[in-house]
Amino acid sequence: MSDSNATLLAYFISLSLMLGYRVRIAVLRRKIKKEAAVSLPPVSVPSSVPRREAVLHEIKPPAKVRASSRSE
Amino acid sequence: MDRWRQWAGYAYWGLTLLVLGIAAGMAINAPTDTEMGPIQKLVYLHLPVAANTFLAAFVVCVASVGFIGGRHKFWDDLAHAAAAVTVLNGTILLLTGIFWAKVAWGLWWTWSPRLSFSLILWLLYAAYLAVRYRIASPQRRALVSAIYGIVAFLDVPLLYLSLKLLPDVHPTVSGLTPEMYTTLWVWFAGVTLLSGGTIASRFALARARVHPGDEDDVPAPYPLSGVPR
Repeated sequence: MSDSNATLLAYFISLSLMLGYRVRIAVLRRKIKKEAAVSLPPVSVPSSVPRREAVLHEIKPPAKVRASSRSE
Repeated sequence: MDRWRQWAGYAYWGLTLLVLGIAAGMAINAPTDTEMGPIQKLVYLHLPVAANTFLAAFVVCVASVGFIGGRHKFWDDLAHAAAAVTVLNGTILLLTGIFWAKVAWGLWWTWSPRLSFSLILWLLYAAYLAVRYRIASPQRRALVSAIYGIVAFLDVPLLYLSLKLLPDVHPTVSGLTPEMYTTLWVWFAGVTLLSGGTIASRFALARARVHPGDEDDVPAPYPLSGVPR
C-alpha cells in the first residue's frame, strides 16, 4: 500500500466512524421522540371537571398508604 | 423552545461539517513533508483526536465526581456519553497510529510507553462500557461506574508523564511550517466540535430514554406533600 493510499484510507475509516456514530445517535433520538409521541396520546379531560380534581382523581395513592390513612 | 433547540442543533451540525470540510481541503492542499511524505498528513487528525480523547476522559472523571457528590442521574448520563466518545476517539487514535507506524516504521505496533498507555486507556474505557452493560440495577451501575470513571482517568496523567520521563520512539510534533500549523488548528476545531456535539447528543439520547427505577426519572407517586414514598 502506498503512502497516499494509506493516508486516505485512515482518514476515510476515521471520519466514517466518527460521523457514522453521530448520525446513528441522531437517528435513535428521532426514533425515541416518535415513539414517545405515539405512546403518550393527549389526555382529554371534560371541561365540566375542575383541573385539580381531575388530576387527583387520576392519581391514586398506593394501597398501603390508603390502608394506613383509614386506620388513623 | 423545542423548535429553537432543534434549529440550534442543525446550525451546530452545519458548522461542524463546514469546519471539517474546510479542514479536509486544507489538509489536501497543505505542503507534503519532505522526509515522511504524504503519511505525515495523518498528524492533522491524529493529534486533535488524541487531545479530544483526553478531554472526553476528563469529562467522564468530572461527571463521576459530580455523581458521587450529588447522586443525580444527570451526572451518570453525562459520564456514560463522554465514555462512549472516549472509546470512539481512542479507536481512531490507535487506528491512525498503526497506519502511520506501518508506513513510517514498517510495523503495525511496537510496545513503546506512549503506545502502551494509549492502548491501556482505550481498554479501560471499553471496559467501563462493558461493566455498565453487565450491571442491571441502575443505582448500583451508576455508583460503580462513577468510582471506575475516576480510577480510569489516572491513566491520562500516566500517559502524559510517560512522554516527559520515559524514552520513546514515538515522534514529537516539530518542524511544521506555519501553513501546516494552521491546518492542524482547523482540524482541532473540527474534531472538537464533532466530539462535543457527539457527547451532547449521546447525553440527550440517554435523558430521552425511560429508565424504570432510576431515582430522578421516577415521577412522584402523587402530587401531595408529606406522604411517605
